[in-house]
Amino acid sequence: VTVQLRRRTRAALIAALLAALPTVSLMHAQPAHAVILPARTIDGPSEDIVGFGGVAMAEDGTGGLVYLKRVAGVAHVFVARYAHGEWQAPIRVDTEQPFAASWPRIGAANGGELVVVWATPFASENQRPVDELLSATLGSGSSTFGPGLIVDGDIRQGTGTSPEIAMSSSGQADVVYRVVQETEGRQTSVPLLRPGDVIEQVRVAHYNGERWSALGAINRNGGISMRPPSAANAPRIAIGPTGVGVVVWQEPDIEGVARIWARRIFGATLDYVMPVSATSFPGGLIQDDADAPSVAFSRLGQAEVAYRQVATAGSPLPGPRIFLNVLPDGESASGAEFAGAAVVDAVVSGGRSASVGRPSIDIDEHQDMRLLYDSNGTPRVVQGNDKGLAGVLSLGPGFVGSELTPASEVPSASVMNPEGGGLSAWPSADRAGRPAVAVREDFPGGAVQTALFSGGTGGLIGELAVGRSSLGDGLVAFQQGPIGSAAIVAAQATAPPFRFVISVPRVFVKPAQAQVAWEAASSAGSPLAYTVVLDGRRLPTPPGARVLRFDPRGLGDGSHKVQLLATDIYGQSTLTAPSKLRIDGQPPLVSIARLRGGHTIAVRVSDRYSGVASNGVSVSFGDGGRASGRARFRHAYAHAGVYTVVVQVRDKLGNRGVVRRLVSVP
Amino acid sequence: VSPRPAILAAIGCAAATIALAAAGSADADVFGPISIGSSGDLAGGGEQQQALYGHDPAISGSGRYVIFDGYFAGRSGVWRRELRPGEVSGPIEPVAVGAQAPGSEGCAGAVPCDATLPSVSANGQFVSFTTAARLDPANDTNEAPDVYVRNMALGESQPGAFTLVSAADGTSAGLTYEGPLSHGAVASGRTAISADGNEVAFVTTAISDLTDPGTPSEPRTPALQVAVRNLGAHTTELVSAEYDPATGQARPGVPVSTLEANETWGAVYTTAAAGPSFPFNNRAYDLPPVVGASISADGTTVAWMGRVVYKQARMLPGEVGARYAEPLWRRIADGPLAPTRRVTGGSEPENPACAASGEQNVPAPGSASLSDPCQGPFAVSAESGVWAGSRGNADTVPQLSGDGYTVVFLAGAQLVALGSNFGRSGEELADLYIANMHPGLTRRAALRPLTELATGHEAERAGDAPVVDASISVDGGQVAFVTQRTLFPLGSPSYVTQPAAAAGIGELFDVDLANDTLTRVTTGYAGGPSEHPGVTSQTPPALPTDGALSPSFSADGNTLAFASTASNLIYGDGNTPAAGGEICTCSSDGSDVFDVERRQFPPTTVEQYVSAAPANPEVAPEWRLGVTAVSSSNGTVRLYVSVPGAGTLSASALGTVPVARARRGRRARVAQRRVSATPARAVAPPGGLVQITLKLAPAYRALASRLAGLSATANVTLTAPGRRALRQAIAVDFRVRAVHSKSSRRAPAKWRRHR
Repeated sequence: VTVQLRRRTRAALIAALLAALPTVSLMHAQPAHAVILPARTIDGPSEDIVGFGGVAMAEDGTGGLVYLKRVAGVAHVFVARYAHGEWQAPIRVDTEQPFAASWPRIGAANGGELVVVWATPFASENQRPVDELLSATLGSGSSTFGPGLIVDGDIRQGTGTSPEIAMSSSGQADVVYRVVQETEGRQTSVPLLRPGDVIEQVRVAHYNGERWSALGAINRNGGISMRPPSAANAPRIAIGPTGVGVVVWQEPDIEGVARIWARRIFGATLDYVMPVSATSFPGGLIQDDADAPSVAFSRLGQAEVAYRQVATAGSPLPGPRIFLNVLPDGESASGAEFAGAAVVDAVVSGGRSASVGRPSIDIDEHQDMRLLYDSNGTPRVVQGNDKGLAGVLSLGPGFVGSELTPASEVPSASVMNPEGGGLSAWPSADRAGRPAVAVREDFPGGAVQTALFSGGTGGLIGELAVGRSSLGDGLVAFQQGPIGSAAIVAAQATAPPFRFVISVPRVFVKPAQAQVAWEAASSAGSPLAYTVVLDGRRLPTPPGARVLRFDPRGLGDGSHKVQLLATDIYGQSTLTAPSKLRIDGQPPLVSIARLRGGHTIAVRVSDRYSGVASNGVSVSFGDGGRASGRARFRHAYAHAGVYTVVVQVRDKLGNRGVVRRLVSVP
Repeated sequence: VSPRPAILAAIGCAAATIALAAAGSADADVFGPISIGSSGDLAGGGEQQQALYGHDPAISGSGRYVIFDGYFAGRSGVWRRELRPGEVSGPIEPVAVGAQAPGSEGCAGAVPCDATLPSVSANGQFVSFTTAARLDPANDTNEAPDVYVRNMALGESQPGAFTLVSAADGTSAGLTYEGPLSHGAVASGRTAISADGNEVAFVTTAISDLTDPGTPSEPRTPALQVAVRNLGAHTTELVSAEYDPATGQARPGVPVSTLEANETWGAVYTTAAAGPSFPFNNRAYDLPPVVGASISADGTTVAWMGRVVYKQARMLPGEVGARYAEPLWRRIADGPLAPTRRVTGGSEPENPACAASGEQNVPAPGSASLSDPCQGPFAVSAESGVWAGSRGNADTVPQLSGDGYTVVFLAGAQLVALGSNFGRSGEELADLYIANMHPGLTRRAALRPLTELATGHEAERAGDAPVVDASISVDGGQVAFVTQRTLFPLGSPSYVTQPAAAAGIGELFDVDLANDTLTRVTTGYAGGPSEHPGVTSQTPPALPTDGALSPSFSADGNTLAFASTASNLIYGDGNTPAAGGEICTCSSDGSDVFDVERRQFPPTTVEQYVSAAPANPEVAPEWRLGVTAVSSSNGTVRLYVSVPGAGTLSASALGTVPVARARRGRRARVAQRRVSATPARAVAPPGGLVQITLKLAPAYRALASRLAGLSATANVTLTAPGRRALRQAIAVDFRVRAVHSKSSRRAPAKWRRHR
């Protein structure tokens, strides 16, 4: 008996505890309804805008873009920060530097922190100028950039530097860049494999949030020449939130064929060199250069590298193709080497004369992959998941080059929405043939939104970049118009809030106790407006509230559906899945039935919600008879007459009531 | 230029096109694909031929014709090719050509196969050039080189097709020369003729009767004089006239000459005092000899690289070196007394503070200081001046804008502003400058450098390769130049093209002075730098003039013609230099004439299209009622009804009430009756909270006053068209709770029965 009592007591205690706990529902948003907003001209058109350096977006949806603008005739670095869903006025980065800047790049961390790197001449050595790679940081709460930090004090003349910065949400960053050595007029022990080749180092530097440390040259063989630097063969880097990442670059192998190589980066430590590109294909060896590497790195440590494989006469490939190679995260498969390069899209017409553009790849922690490239002018998106390639999608309108850059060499970008789908942007043209940037948003639910962006006074599309957050938001920025009339244009694809947590009482409560509480939703479109929805009705919700107590009036007994509608500054809404709110505001019901010709009555106390508290029930039958402690009673009257039956009731929530009924006994 | 306010569509609307108003006009520095100009339909039969070589192109102001020195099918000389928009080919006509002797580059007889250095009028009708051939035998009586103009409206053999330019003043008779037949008169390429073709500038390279036409048998005018021939008036004017320090004016008809170190120096710069010999070679990979003069398109102004400057323009008293070279400028439209002015220089005697200082000479370059009021923009040596030509050849003839007030020139001296030998050794590496010749400007203020050496390491071509040729557009807004440099450290103009990884052969660049940008014009058809097989990164070009040369603008500045030895500017260039890096000085040097158009980007209305955004999640009220009740102390019951939408709401209450008292054997009875009801009322959407007050019917009202009150069940009903009726029941109590004193708060003495 004791054991049973203890068990019962424990069960009761657990039940009581459970009852006391609210229901916490992790409500993922319905499919993210990202919306593409009209592009905005950030700066220009102006004769002073002379370059664009890229755009970056942190996981929290903040970010910025960087570009070059002349001040008093000298090119300097300017940044426009993106925060709270708005572009802020551009500010100058290199305020301490008197000389012309070049190669600006930008990285973004949470809270609006931005890190910018750029090159500038700073001294001369043996009567020749030497460029250095500098960096400056815009802190979360700061409105001006800090002093410049030296990333690399000697990048020679800054030719072909092509830096790329990758930044984690925690503020760590890595930058990869090239340093081309001058060989003119000097003897060099390094043979030049091909005309136009250069002696070059690919270097990496790591930023721990406070200072930069050089990881040095990463190319595998300093004794061979490299292909002349171009935008298509620039090194690439990607890192995860902890600062672990992968760097990829192009470098000739021992046969003199330019291949793609990769190394993992563990903070300030470099791992060994891994070959990425395929050296053979069914039918023979690949003897053509591979270029245009693009790398993405997942939160869990998986890297995927896409590159372009040229195919000339004698190649086993039917034509140029985009290859994909995967470096597993080490959990699901060995992370020690790449799994093997494979063609991602076999359907490319045109044979060896086909035009294949530079790929852009992005992945997420679910091992989903999205890759955009130009296939004979058609934008093709290759999608994949943890089981392999999932399909290829042709987007429209087509790639359109410019007088400066053929269509296959124009930059494009595609990033993922963590909820599925993604954002793609590429240079194109409108129906009138005017240059524009085509943007397409594929939603997880299958919906699509498209846009053609143009800014400034129009004109050819220059550099183009896309950044993305972990919230489904993306930034598209580009330079439009020729130098002399160039503008910096930016657009954003916003996602509604998601990852919503709301809590409602798990058990029945009285109407006056009914409330819903919620956590702030993640969104780049903050501040958000919240609206509590009860049984499909929107209830007035004070701004800034995180808890709403329901009006007990009209809140009838039973189960109600509670939802929360979060609306961002763009009017996009996310509605959480319904949570049950159980209300019991009425005392138990009393029913009296006459039995046996009316001399006997049966009293029944019931409560379909919280239940009857039996010890709170008492009945006075009007003839002096009384009973209590039960929910069912039976009483026989001895004499005819009209009696007043008074039933006092109470349910388990404490709702009390007194029911008086006249009973006529024949 | 700033954008006008953009009209932005609201978010969430249906497919929207957003129009941005056009911004202000802005020019651009983007050049289109390069076309070959030295290729076309030669015989008129539609068959396209490419010249074996093409040099020294000049484009007409209309942009319709490109004139060049080339070789087709055994004939060389000056040719005219028509540029037809959208067509890769066009007819090629001979301007002044002749057969070459087999196995030789000499002419086969007295034919103008040596015609060279053409300039062209704006409409392409008149072409000036230099040749030793006697194309006007009646007036040209010698075998020395002379300057001619060809009227392309007339056939080659028609009378008047060729007009002798180097003729004596007031007649059509040619000048008489003294000395070897290799010296006479020459005109520079591209810039020797005015836009209307009426004025032609030329330079004598021999002693002539230019200023003493009355004694042709005893010519006394020293060599290397600048003259302008007015073809319509048959006059020839000495431009390089002496300067009279007393009056500050020119001495009309008095040529400039001096004897120094046993050599006679004239008014015009040449590499040697004797001047160049004609015929010039085909100049494969090289420039024509540095001699000549430019005339502005409006014919008002002439510029030349001068020597014996102290006799031509105002200088400090101590500046008397004959070798001193400097660009000079004279506005002949202002009359014969208008003096020659210095475009730039090492001194500035016009500065009033300089005149007041009594300074006799400027310090040597190492001591030059801008605090010296007599100091000019450049730190110069008295032996060389602004241009010494010690580092190879360059086309140093100053170039003029259409009105003559803007001058583009090359200078080997360094700017005083750069400091003493900063970044430079004693060697001269040409940079490009532009000067404003409008009155009232000091030479320091009038000067603007367009390039600057990137390093102090002279052997490094990427930073220090010389500028070897230049041109300026008629409106003075565009400057084209040629160099093998890849680095341009000046921020103004700002170099906006991706720098090449390494220095190669000479590339053509364009400075847009309005936009203050510098753009590389020449690009291989595959996107890379200019190349030809003879040049690799391991075998750089041997000459700084290998590559592009002779840029020439059309009048609107939108078409550039130039020559280049590159073989990758167009696809299928059939005129490729031999591989192996050897410099071919033969005719088949691989040089071709090209043209390229500057792309115009007129402001356009920018439109944006954003398709409809996906719909937000819908929120629809559930079709259900929510009812709560509150008993009032006055015996009524307030019902709070949460309604989901529009409809008609009604409420009533059912209670058990006594209906008969016991009397005479009849038993008392109770029954359920409707004790309260409200009239139906409509409610408006969307669903909200509706309050209904239930009052007991008069017959039952007293029951509420009894101690026990009246328990009842309230039924609430909502009806709406097309929707099911909603009903909700709730237990209620009607009870009057009178506010009494404590003693009186008791139950009534007797219960009353209701009938």
